[in-house]
Amino acid sequence: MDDMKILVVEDDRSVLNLITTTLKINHYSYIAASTGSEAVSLCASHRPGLILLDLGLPDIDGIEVIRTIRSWSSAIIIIISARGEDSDKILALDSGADDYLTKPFSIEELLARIRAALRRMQYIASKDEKSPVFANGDLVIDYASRIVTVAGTEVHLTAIEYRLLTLLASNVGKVLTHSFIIDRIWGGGVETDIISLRVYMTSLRKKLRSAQPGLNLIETHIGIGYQMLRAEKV
Amino acid sequence: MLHSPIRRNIEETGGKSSYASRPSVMVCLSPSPTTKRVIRAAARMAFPVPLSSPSSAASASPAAGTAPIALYVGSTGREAEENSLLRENIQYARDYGFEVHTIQSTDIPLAIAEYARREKVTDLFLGYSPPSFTLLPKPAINEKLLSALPTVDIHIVPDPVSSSYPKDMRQIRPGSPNWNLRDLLLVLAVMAVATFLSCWFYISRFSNSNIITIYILGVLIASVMTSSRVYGTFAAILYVLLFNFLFIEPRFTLLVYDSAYMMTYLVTMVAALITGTVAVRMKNIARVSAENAYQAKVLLDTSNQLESAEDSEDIIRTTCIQLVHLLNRAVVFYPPAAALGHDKGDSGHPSARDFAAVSPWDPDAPAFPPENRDSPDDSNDSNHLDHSDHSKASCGPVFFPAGEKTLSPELLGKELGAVRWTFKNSQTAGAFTSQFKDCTCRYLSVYSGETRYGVIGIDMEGHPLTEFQDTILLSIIHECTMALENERMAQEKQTAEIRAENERLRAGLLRSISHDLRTPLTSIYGYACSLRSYEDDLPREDRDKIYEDIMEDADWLNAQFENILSMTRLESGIGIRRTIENMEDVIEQSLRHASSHHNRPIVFDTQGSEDQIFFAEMEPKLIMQVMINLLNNAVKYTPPGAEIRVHMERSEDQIIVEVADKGPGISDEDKPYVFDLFYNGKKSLTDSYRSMGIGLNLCAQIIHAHGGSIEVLDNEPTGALFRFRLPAADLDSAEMQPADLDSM
Repeated sequence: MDDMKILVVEDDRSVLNLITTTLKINHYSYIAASTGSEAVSLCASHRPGLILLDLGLPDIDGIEVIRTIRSWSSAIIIIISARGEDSDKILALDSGADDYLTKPFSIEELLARIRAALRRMQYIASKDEKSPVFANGDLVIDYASRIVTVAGTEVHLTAIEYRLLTLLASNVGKVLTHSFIIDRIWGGGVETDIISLRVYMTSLRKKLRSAQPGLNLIETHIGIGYQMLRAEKV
Repeated sequence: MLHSPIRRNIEETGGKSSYASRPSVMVCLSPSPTTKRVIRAAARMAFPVPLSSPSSAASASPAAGTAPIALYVGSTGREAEENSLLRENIQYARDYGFEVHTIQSTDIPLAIAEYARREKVTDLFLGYSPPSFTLLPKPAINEKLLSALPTVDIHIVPDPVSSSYPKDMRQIRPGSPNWNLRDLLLVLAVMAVATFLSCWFYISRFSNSNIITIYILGVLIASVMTSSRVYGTFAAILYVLLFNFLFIEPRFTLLVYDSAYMMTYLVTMVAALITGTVAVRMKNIARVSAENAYQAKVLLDTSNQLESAEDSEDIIRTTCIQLVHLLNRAVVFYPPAAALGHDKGDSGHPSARDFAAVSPWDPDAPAFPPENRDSPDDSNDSNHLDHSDHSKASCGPVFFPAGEKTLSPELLGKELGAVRWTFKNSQTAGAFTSQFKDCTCRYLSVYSGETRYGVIGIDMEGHPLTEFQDTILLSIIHECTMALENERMAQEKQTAEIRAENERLRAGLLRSISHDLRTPLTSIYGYACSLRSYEDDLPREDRDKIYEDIMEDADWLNAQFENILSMTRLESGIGIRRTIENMEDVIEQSLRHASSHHNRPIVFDTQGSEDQIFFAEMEPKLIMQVMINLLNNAVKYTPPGAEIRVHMERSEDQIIVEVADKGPGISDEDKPYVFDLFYNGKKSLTDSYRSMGIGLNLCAQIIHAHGGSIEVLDNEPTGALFRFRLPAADLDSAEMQPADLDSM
């Protein structure tokens, strides 16, 4: 993945400058675009592995850009948006974005997201072997025997909790919105399902955590959804 | 025209200028046929527009409050019931748009003068009263009025037909025979007792004068106890006949030997008549004052009840119930939406609600929205939105049955036209009025100036109200209107006060924000400039200090921006969506946002069993804002290295969250003001740019909006402890217990 390019789409000159400078210092190769149409054409010609996309673009709606790129590319898309626009984030995530970054963000945050995205790319690349075992840090899911262990200890899960965990595991690193999860687990969502989802998720996390205190693989995104983080050291 | 007003031109300076420039007209009513001409003449003056018929006059009537007055002064207050011509004249005046007032007084000119003065009348219309040939020659009313009202133009309309009333008119003057069996029997009984006593006197050989006295006493008693003067007269005649027949020689004949007795008869008869008349008058006065007292009591009662009424619904309910008590007739109230027939389309008659069956006055139901007269009547105007808002609760008429008597909605459905007309024109319509005569109800508009509150319908049950009931009815509705108006004004005033207070707060907030945002911006800008110019000249530690300050200022700006955003959202309610959230998740996410404040470790612990769930209904972004503010506050006051403790526990139906710092704490005298807007522990706002005290105020606002509470306490051994409580969400449905589901 050394030759992986990062496409930065940002119309604000100084934010673009900040991001590209950071990338340059950290030795990532990048290309920059300041409009949606430029982003689409650069994406087609350069095949970047990771796209940092600002949602508020002057020409095309950011959501449209995601949909267009997603139609042929499986590049990881991290959206950059202002806080307080949850509905935009949810729409972007449901349209195919993987993660989001909220303005104002720190350099550390940006780099952490990029590292997480790279780990996800590595995982996707290695997943092709159709391994019957999923391993993420101390968490191991044996799909064949449907056994979940954390640091060697077996964790007993209910059917729904297991399905939740496998759904998160198969999308590791990606933020899954509530409606996406509800749709996959229950098939069609009503309002009350969000509450039961929250109950199951709380219970699932408690069980994982009781097996190994301090384990925090599942991150909650208030008002948006859940995300399984890829552990730093596999 | 035949009338020739006598106009007294006023020379006195200021005589007329003190009155309104518009002529204020009053017309005096009487049972005379001339009255109609007087009314027409007065109407020409009161309504400058040419009028052709009473109905057009009614529709062109001036705004409420300036309506000309038609005054009837009666001595008993019952004349209108007894005299059809007077009733006709009163109705005639009403049709012309006059406001009819009836007062009772024995001194007619004085009463007229008093009334005219009180109502600031500028033009008074009278019919010419010819010198009457009654027993007591009255001085001409107009003469008295002229001297009593020197500043009023008095117009006298003469009677063109004759100076006296036609014969048939005189027949129905007050006091016409109105025989009634009970009174007749009473007279006979009283006279029989008197005769019996007289016989005993006669046998006991008392003088005749005693017998006469007994008889006069009988006549007096008969006059007092019967309803009309006729019976007194009848008793007097009876006395003469009986006395003559029984006790005067030759007895048992009607002949008199001694012609002196003729004189006695005449004198005693006159005496009997006069005492009888006086008795009747006294009785009338007693009745009038009783009625007045009753009216005053009812009105006082009504206004007392109206005073304690809480809102417009209460006012209308009180009024209607009072009317039901007073008239013993069923009453219906149409709020504006119903009066305009907004729900007419679905069933043809309004969706009726029976007051007795279902109480529509539940506290949640919105008040009847007053309808403004300025707006067009059609439903597609801007007011339509208001109607649809309220249509659920108050679209239908409200019924107030009188005992068993109720109004059927089907029947009323047919009379919606009258209701509508009444509402739109703010006039009276329905039974026994000139408009919609064939209705079963009379409809009265409840309005004040430009604002219309609705229509009250009264079941007339086929016979009209007495003049007394009419007067009191109008008075009660007037009281009701006043109460509604006061209520509306009070509400408007309150709204204005709240708005002014909000404006004041907003202005203060803006001033504070602009000050507090500019200060860190200035420092960031200044640092950037100095770094560009002198970066190489600055020692390492100075530069580090500058970088830190810039970051801190930017953080501060961002935090305040988030606060302003949250405050705006909280105020406007836009984008606020409450969901049931896990408080633990919310706190953890807040910690991630606040954890950039290094060197001060934040410890988060929860108290409770493993499967304890901390769920609460909330707008998570706002609660996060509370946590972030409390944490930032704690970080600000905690020395580097010291730890900040976040603790959560559940007590019964509440989730308690505490944020404790190791700072200097908050003094007891400052504690009550910590959550006040712009309070920063010091009196002056300009001490430091960190003065923007909206953070804690916002916390309190958010927590209160969630039905929780927030307080500040002392942390042990040092520092402040902020504790807030939120109502815990109740999750007791079966699907909420994952443990019960099939285990793997």
